[in-house]
Amino acid sequence: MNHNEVFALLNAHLDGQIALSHQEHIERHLRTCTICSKELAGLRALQHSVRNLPREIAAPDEVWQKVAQATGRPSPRILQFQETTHPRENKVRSHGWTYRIATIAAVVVIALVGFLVGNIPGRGSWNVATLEGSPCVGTTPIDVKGQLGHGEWLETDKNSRARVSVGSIGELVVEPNTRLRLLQGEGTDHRIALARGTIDATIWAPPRIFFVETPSATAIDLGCAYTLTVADNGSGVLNVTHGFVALELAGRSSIIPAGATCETRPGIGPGTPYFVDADAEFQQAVTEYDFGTDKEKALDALLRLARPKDALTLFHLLHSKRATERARIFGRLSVLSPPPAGVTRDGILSDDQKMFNRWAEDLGLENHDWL
Amino acid sequence: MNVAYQLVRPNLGNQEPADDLILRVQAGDHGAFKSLYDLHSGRVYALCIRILGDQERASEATQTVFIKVWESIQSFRHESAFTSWLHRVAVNTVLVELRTERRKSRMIDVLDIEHENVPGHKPTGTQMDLEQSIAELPPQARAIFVLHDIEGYTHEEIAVKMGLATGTTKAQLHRARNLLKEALNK
Repeated sequence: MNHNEVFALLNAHLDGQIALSHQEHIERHLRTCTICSKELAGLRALQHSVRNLPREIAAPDEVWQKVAQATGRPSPRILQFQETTHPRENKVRSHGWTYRIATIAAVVVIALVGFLVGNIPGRGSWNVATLEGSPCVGTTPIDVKGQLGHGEWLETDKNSRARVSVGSIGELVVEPNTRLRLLQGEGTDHRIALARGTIDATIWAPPRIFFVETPSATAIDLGCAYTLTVADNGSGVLNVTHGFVALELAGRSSIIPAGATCETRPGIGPGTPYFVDADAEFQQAVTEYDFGTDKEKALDALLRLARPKDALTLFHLLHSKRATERARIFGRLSVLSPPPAGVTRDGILSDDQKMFNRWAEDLGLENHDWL
Repeated sequence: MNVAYQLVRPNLGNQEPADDLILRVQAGDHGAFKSLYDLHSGRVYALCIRILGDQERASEATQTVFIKVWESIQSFRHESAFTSWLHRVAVNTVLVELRTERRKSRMIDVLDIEHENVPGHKPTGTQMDLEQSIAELPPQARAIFVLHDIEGYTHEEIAVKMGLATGTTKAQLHRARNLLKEALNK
């Protein structure tokens, strides 16, 4: 084995990839060749330096922020897994794909009981800070800071606003003329009653830890930021700015993603969500369809004015109890956003939950990046 | 057999996460997922930035890795070490990113970012020079060098993952080492 042959094999020699018989030739050559010895020493020095490189380099903070944003609610695969391992026993509510969120949320709640109970400080009461004016807890005005205990009411007048910490999982800004009550302030159930007024909620907890009960629906946080307004007559309007929120009442439910809104009515529950940038006539038609009397005319307008993005609205409407309406809605929705392979008209019209779920995923209804 | 580099065989993170942490993530526990991220993101990011040589792309690749982990954690069956599973996801992701034609993005100044971000680590001048030199290697040679000499993969494994012949990976590794030696001797 000559010098050039040995020189060419030094990398492999360093890596221990040379047959034993060749190694003897190489080592013999190295004892007499300063060029090869120097080359091998250089390779070993490099190897030594590489071994001493740090094993970890902290990722920039924004990496987690984006990961959290994209994963803030259970992924479709996790939902699918949970549905497989925890099949639904009862079909109570109308919107099939929300069942899966509820299912995984229930599992999450169970999984987090031990974790959260021991990690949320200030159990039982929430901190309140005055932003403007003199908010009151009960009848006691809050000067700068105060506490909102179980069962206590927080009330703002037309000149006052307050910030309320939702345990350690988020915060509320309580706008003027608002009245709310702390029902449960710890563990896996953070719950308030919003009798009237407006709150701006920002929640960073796992889904279904924070609930707002109103006279016309319960708003269930699914990892989000939103504004919820309740009028004196108990009707409500929810606007979601980040993530998703579920609105539920007595078996009726809607899922509202960021950029969308949904109205609620006492005795009826949540209506159909729609995007706030939809045509004004479309928005009026949604309200008429949900809470008015001329549903047929409203549906005509909805189907005529819907954009592809309004698949959100049409998909919710697919759960109409009227078969003829469902067929019309399916027809329009399938034009705006064709169903994926395996999802058929007959399946949807016969309430095949797997097909509903598959279409929901295809529509991006379970994806934070939908917008 | 690559005896020398078995010592630095993939071992993402400082420790194997407890099974219950993985189970909690599999149950959809986002808090547990954050713990998992905290435990492993440094190792994943180090792999990404060394192979890609670009902070922005490394950040995106790291995001992609952990989003994939969240979405596919159900496929982890506890039959192997989680760190090995995660490492496969990370390497596959970063190699796809490497092959992706992208706009020419800003090359990192390794000296600015790398060692400021290593908790408790005060790098030597040689290490900083080495990181910078690795970042300046040609992309393919850089990836092969990182996978072989830092991550401990064999030529056969690298060849499969990158769709190359083992002769090519050996030649590129040789080339990378020579370039690094030259750079460090300047």
